[in-house]
Amino acid sequence: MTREASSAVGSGGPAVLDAAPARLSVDGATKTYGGAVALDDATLRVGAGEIVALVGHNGAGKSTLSKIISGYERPDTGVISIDGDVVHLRSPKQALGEGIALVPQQLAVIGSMTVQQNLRLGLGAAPHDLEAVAERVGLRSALHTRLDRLGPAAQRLVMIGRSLLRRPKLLILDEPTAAFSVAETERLFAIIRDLTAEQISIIYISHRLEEIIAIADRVVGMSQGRIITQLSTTDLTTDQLADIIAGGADAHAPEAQGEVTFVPADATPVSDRKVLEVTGLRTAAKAGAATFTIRSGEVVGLTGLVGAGRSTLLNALWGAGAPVLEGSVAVEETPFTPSSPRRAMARGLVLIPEGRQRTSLIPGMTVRENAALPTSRRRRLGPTPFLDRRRERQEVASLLADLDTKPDRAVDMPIHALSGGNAQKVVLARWLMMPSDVVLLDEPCEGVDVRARNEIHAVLRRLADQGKGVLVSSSDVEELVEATDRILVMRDGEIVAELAGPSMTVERVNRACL
Amino acid sequence: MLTEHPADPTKRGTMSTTTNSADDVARSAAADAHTHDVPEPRSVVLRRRFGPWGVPVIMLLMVAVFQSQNSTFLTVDNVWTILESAALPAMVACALTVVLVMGEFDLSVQAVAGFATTTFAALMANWNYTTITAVVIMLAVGLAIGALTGWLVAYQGLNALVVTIGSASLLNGGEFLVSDSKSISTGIDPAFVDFVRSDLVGVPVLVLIAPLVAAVLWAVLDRTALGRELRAIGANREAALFAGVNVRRTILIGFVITAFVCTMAGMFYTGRAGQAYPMTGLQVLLPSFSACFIGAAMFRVGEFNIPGTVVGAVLASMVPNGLLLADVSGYSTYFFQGGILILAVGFARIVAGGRRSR
Ligand SMILES: Nc1ncnc2c1ncn2[C@@H]1O[C@H](COP(=O)(O)OP(=O)(O)OP(=O)(O)O)[C@@H](O)[C@H]1O
Ligand SMILES: [Mg+2]
Repeated sequence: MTREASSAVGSGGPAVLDAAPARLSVDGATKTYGGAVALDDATLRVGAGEIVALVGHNGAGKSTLSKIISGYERPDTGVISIDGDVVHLRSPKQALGEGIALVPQQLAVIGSMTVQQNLRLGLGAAPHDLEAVAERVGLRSALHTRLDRLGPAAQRLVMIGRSLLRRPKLLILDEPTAAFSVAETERLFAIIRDLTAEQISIIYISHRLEEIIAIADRVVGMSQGRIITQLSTTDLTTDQLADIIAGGADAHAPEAQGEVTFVPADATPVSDRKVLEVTGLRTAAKAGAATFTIRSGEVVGLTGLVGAGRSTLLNALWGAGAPVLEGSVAVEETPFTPSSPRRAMARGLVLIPEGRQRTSLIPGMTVRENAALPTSRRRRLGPTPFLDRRRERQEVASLLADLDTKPDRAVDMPIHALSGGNAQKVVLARWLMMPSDVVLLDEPCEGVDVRARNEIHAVLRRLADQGKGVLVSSSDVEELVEATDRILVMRDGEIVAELAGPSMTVERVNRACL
Repeated sequence: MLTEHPADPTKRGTMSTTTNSADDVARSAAADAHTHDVPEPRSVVLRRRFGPWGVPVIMLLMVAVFQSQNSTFLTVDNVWTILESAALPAMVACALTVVLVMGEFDLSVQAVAGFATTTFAALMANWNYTTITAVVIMLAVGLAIGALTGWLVAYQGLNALVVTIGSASLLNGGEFLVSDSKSISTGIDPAFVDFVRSDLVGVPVLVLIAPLVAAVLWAVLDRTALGRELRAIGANREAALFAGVNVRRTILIGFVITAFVCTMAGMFYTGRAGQAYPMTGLQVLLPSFSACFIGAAMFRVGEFNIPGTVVGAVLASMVPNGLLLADVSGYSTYFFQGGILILAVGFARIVAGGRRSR
């Protein structure tokens, strides 16, 4: 790692000009979308082999900045130079030619192809270093495996490998670890450290603060389209980072003062009423069978390594995944056979599924239409079949405001104009509008900033206090320890451990996962 | 980001619940794996801003050309003629829009309408049913045809293209069967014929009915929960399923609506022509697809929509009329109709920007 490079660029100013030119420099980049400023006069330097983390609230402009750097988007004003040469990036292809590769947040792989075929996508001849790259991302032995047999972590690594085959000088990773568990994150970090040793620079976008402290040399804080701070990560704490993000969003808003508090686990009145009871549930996709109970008034966590079968379980309960082979389910102490989301909904179940692009967002619809989709029939103008659009708008807008969604007038915007985290809040709003007894959530905080994450945890607690049973699946153990009453650990379709009270620590849960 | 809105009007959704939407990815993979998660480049934004004006501009140009060839083109009489001839194709095109919106296809629209034309005539002429009874029977038949197609596609998972090509052939055969392969000209209720051919306050009655049907379909698609669910299925079938939409039933309903409206159009055609002979009904297969795709390049750009389809249908019937007046030989209509369909698809794609319509 090149400490001197990072400190040189870190200090900014004309001194940089005397030293070797920065690998990347962005000067005064501005981007507006129809009057709304997404990026405002951003100036950034990244040294060779430096790891720079971009942090900021949802909609701060992180993705916009990385799209501009990688040629996906052209800035309204601003100059980009690479190794001191000014470049005019017109397309991602050209940016790749200049050595800049973006690994976008969304998985873009073909499940029916092998790892090798996926790696080669878009490249003409078979690259001679394909094996070396596969080795580097830890997929050498899986080269001829179909990608859909491997988990999302492997798929993400394939995307990174695909970028590495283009021999980038600068690699941008947009929320690569959103659904990684500890083990996968460690592997990714090892790869990143390897790359920086070869003077490849990294821009790393994440909402997971511990990760940023662990991997980045320098943190660039963004807020409302502006770069507000640039700090070295030495002696930076997660609290300070959280302050940058929260303070940047709106330092004076009451939510920003961190007044979102958690009721300690034991204090929550958990009744004996079992709202969801799953006994020996085995699906076609996993070997093990799951048994657990959720009671009214509690927030239960569900974790496990990627591929443990958490989503399989939740989707099966929802009636939208692998078919149930055996076992029984009871909702509100009466038997329930999962068959379709509609039936599950009618029985008071709600699932906020993982992977919002694929399983939740309807492209081409506005935020309002997206949020109101499942509850449409409940909001009609009297006896007519017509939708009460005014009421829809009010209800969606107020929920989005509760979840702190940006921009404020998001209700009538097309869904694609929202940043990743804000789109996730739309998905949450959709299901909070649905009356329910049991709320199942699969990675609900994916891509959501710290402040909104706290807000979501508070919402979960409120739901439980209304007498609902809440089950949150997350690969972020810390989050679960903080926000839930007890944690179920899953391995290959089976609940292998349950931790509650004093034994519920990050370390113990992590150990139980393995 | 583009991936946040790959609203691809013609894309068949996928019900698969595997870890990635392979068919979505596969389409872009051929181009360049790295451009998959593409935030929109400026050219797309420009297209989106100016694209919607493309169809109106082309329409004006065509009007100008036709007018320059024959000055009777823009007379009041001829305008009514164009609109009157556009009315029934517009109805069929609007019906087709419903199926296209939910990401399916229906190649049987013309056959359904044609079957209705002949069978309706046969019911009155050969079997001596009263007009009212014949209408009721035909509407029920229309519902049944739609329900059967919808059931095969939605519940049996058969490919809609193949199913509707098959059902179209069956219905064509049915036309010969019900009419005994004979032309039916006497026995069609003259009151009905007069009504269809009449004017109301100087406007041909069909020119009043077609917009009414279009308005109802627009309201269904745009203002009801059912319409929202149809659109959701077309844009992201898996998400619609996860959101609790009864995907199968909704698809079935979509096919029923389409067949029902096509049946209506077919019956009106019986009145308009005053006679029926198998396979000589409305010739709307190409024009209705053209209308839908022209429509997808207007108003709600990149998505099939009823107002766009209506304009598209008018444009599609303007062409034969203009060519006729310009004294271009009859068969050239084929060239123009085929050309317009391909141009419309191409244009819809350009306007919506690459990935969004295919
Ligand atoms: N196509 C678009 N049209 C209109 N506004 C847009 C568009 N794309 C992005 N924006 C707006 O630009 C702002 C910045 O978005 P960006 O995606 O860069 O945020 P982000 O920092 O990546 O947030 P997140 O952490 O949620 O991913 C947001 O307010 C967003 O709504
Ligand atoms: Mg983002």
